[in-house]
Amino acid sequence: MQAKELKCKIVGVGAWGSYFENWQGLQALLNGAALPETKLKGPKPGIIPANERRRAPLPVRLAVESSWQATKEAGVEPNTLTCVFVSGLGDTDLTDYMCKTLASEHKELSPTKFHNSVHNAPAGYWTISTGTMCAANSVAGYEASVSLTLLEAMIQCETEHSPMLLTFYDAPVADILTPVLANQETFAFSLVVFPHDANVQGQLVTARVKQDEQATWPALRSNSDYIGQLYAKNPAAKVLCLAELLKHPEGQIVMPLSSGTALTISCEE
Amino acid sequence: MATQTASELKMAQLLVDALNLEDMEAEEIDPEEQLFGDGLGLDSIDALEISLAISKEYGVQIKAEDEGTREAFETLRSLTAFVEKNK
Repeated sequence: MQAKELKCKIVGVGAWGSYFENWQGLQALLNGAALPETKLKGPKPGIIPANERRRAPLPVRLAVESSWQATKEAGVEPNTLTCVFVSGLGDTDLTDYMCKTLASEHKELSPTKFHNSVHNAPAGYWTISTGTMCAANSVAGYEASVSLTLLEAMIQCETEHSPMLLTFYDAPVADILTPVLANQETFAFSLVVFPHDANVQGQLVTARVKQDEQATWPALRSNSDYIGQLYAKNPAAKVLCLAELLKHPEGQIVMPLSSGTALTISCEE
Repeated sequence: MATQTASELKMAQLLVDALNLEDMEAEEIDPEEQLFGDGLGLDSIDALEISLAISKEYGVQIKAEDEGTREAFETLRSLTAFVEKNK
């Protein structure tokens, strides 16, 4: 099989987590900075109108904040970007709420929580808040969420020749699900990418799909316990291997994609 | 601002919790201020959430088509009085 190359340019990055409020903060932690003493509760993205923001659950606020940052850094209008949002876990607090309520005597659901319970809720809040009419896709792929989303977005970027917003987010898991899903960390990361031949400043990234039945997520350079826990347990934070590659663009990384394939990513300065 | 009674304060807390009102304490809701439109700025989805929360907390059903529902939703005071009367 001849592996087809997909290329794009990364022109903007956004990030939010319990100990960082932007890409600069995350880079500092990747570089070995000590954890701030205070754990952040959750972002309050100003782009969501106040009446909608108070209804927006944590995964939505994470995704929208990180997306907004990436578009600002890229210097592009957010309503010009086709979007791919991804969460490996979804909103488990809402899943728990829906199951508990529907199994109880009073089955009336909160209309807001019902509305928020769909997997593409963050995409919905984003498209309404920015007024974009561009397509917005929502991916879920558990441990392979990051590689699937990179593939999806890079294919769209190349075939449609359009700039894209990619947003990876996962929130702490509801208590009742912790025996099966370990994540207790908050994480969001966004990329704005342009077609590789676009006349914009950015880091050129190349992806290839290859047959590989043995691929595992690559070890990180960072030796921070916090970063290690994020990477191991938060499906969206698997993108940290790409974040490190952007900072140290030598060599390549291999990400598991399916049981028989892997995604190879390389990056130029 | 008019003074809240104890039952109005309890209802105000239900509103703050059910609607996740940002940066607002129950004690700050004026019992005579309009809940919808220009006052507190609530909207139709909030009306559904309030009805659900009142049904669960007080066992009082508020139906959209009932006479008196519009009046009940005017202020914190009228909403509290409506629930007290129909409990």
